Amino acid sequence: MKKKILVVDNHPLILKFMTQLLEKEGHQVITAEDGLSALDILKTYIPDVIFMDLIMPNITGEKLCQIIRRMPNLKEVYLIVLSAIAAEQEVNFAAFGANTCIAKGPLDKMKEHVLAALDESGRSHSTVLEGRVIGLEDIYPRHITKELLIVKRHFEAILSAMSEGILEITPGTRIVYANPSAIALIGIPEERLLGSDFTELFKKEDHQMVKDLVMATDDHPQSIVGEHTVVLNGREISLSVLPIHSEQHKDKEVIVILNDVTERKWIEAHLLQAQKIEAIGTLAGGIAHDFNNLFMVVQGNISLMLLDINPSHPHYEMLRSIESKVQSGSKLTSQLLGYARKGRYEIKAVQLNQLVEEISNTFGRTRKDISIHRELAKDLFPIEVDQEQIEQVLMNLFVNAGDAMTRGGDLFLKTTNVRGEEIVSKPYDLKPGDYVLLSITDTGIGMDSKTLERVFEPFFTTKELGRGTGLGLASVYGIIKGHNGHIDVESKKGNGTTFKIYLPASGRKVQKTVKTADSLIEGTKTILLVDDEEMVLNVGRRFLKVTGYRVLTARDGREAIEVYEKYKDSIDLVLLDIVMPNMKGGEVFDRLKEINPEIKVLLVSGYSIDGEATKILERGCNGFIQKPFDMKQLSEAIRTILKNDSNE
Amino acid sequence: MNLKKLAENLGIEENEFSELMAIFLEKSSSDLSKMQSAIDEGDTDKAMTAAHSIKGTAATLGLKEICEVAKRMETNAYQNNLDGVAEGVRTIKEKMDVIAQIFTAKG
Repeated sequence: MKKKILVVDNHPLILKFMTQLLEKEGHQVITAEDGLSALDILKTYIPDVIFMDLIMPNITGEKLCQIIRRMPNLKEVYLIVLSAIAAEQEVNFAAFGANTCIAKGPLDKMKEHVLAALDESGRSHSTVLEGRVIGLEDIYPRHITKELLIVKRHFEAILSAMSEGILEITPGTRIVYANPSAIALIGIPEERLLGSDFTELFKKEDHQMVKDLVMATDDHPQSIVGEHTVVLNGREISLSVLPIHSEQHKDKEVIVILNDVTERKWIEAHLLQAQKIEAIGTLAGGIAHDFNNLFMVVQGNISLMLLDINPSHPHYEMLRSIESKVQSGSKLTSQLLGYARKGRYEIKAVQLNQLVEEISNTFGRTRKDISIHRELAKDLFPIEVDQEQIEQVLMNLFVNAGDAMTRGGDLFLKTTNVRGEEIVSKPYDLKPGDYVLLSITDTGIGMDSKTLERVFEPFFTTKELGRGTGLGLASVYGIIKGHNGHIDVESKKGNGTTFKIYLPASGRKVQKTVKTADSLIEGTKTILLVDDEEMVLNVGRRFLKVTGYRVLTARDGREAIEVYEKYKDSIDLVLLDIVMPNMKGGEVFDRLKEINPEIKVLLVSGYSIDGEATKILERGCNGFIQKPFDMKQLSEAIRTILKNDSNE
Repeated sequence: MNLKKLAENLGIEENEFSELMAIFLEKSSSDLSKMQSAIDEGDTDKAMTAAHSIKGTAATLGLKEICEVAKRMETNAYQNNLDGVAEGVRTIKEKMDVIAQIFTAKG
C-alpha cells in the first residue's frame, strides 16, 4: 500500500538513501533537513509515517517528536526515530512519543529494519510502543561518542538550571531552543513555542524594536546588545541578544537572554521616590532651621516691645497681630520638620482625651458654625508621644474637617481602646499590642477615590493657590508614622470623611500638664549666653536682663570658654547654641565641663532634638530648648534648672 | 575497491550506490578540509568532530577501511596527537582519490 512518508535528517546521505529505498517500494517521499523545515512541511502535508533523526541542528529530534505528538491532526502518524547514538545512550523513545527506534548503522542492515518498521506501521495503528531499539545488535558503543554525549547533557543541565530565560533564534526570528526558564517566563508550552516566530510573542508596537535588536547583533559580534525591557505576561522582562558563532550555522543565529526585572524596577522606582522624599526632608529641615532663627529674633523683639506698652497703646493690637503670625509661621516650620520626621523632642505619657478636648475647644472657638460631638472613652490607655506634635496633628485634622464644611456641620470625635487581639485582624502593618484609636468624622463634602489616593502626599492640595500648602496631612502622616502608629482615611464624595488614627498604648502613667501662670518668672542669677548670631545675642541679652538676670555673652566656642574661665564662680547657667561655626556645641560643652564639672547648661537649637543633642544631653546637660521660644518658655526652662540648683 | 561488490553487499543497486557515493565524496572532502584547517589551527575539538563525521558516513556505506582510519583520527585528536591526525588525512585522501578515479573511469 502506498504511503506518504516524511524523512527528516541532516545527513544528505541518509536522505538520499531513504528516498531511493522508499520510492523503490512505491511510496511518496518528502525530505527535510532539520526540525524547522519539517514543521513547515507539516503545516500542509500529513504523512502516514515519519522517519526522524534524533540529533539534528536547531530543533532536536526528541523535541520535534513531542511537538508532533501534540498536534491534533498528526495523532495517527507513525513515528520512527533513527538514532546514531543508540549504543551509547539509552533512547527512551517511548517517552517522547515515537513508535519505534532504529539504530543507524551499515546501510544493508538499515534497509532491512526500515522496511520491517514500515510493515509494522501498516499493521498497528495504535501508539503501542515497542520496547527495544531495532538494530542494536549490529552496532557497538563508541567511546568518544559517549563522552560527547555526557558533555552535551552537562550543558543541557546548566541551561536548565539558569534563572535567566535562554532562547535560540534563527536569523528568520524563529525559536529553535528555549530553556525551562524561558518557557516559564513566556508562558507558552514548549511544543507550541518551538518553530514559532519570536517577535509574535510581543505586542505589535514592540515588534520592530525586537527585530532591530536581533539584527543589531551583526554590528556587535561577540557582545551583548542592549537591555531593552518589554512587557511579557504582565512582567517586565529585559531582553539582551548575543550572536552565536559556530561553523555549523553559516547564518548567524542569535541567543536571547530574558530576565525578569519587575521586582528590580519596582524597587528602583520606590528607591527613587524615597530619595526624593528624603531630599525634600533635608531641604525642609534646613529651611526650617533658618526660619526658626529668624522667628526667634522677631518674636524676641515683639516680646520686648509688648513689655513696654500696655493694651491701650495704639500699637498694642498690631504687635499682638504680628506675634500671632510669627507663631503661625513657626508652626508651619514645625510642620515642615514634622514631615521630615526629625521632629521628636519630648516623649512623655499623655492622656489623649485631654489633648482632644483642649484642641477641639480651641478649634471650636474659631468655627462656631460647627457642632463638636465628643465620645471619649473613660479609661483610655495613655500614649507616649510628643505632646506638641500630636496637638499639631489634631489641629491639622480639625482645620481640614472645617474646610470641608464651609457652611458649618458636625464634627464627631471618638476615642476607644483597641486591644492586641483586635489589631491582628486589621490589614495594617502594626506591631502587636494595645492601641488607642481616635476617629475624626466630619459631615463635609468628602473626597473622591482619586483624591483619597493622594491625600497624604506632600504638596498635594485641593485648595486654591495660596490657601493650602499641601503640607498639613503629609506632616500628620509623618508624625503618626514616627510614633509607630497608623492613620487611615475613609471618604465618599458628598458624604463626609473619617480619619482613623491608631497610636500604641503606653504602660507608663500620665504626667499631668501643669498650667503655669502667665507672668514671667524672675531670678537674680548670672547667665552666659552663647550664640553665633548677633541678633539672637542682642535680643536674648535684653530679654534676660528684663527678666532680672545678669547676662554675659559670647559669640563662639572659644570666646565662651574664655569668658567662662574668667567668671566661672559667678556664672550660674550657660545657654549654649549647638550649631555654631568653628567649635561645635558638643565640644564647647565638654571643655566647659572640664573647667567646672558642676556646670549647668541649657542647650539651644534651631533644629529639633536629634542624635547630636541627645548625646550632649547624656554627657550631663540640664535641658534642651528649641528655637523659636518665647520669653515664657525660656524663663520657665531657666527657672527649672536653677531651682534644682538652689535645692542642693 | 570494487564498487559493484560494495553495492551488492549493501543490497543496493549499482546506480543508486553511485549516487550515494557521490554524496559521500562531497561530504567527506568538506570534512577533510575542515580537518586540515583544524590541524593548522591546532584545534583538536574541530578535528575530532570532522573525523567523527567521516567515520559515520563511511560506516554507513560499508567503507570499512576509511572507517577504521577515521576512527584512529578521532582517537588521535582526542589525545591531542595532531600529527596522527595529519597522517590519517593523507591516507583517507588517497583512498578517496581511488574511489573518484573509479567513478570517472566508469564515466
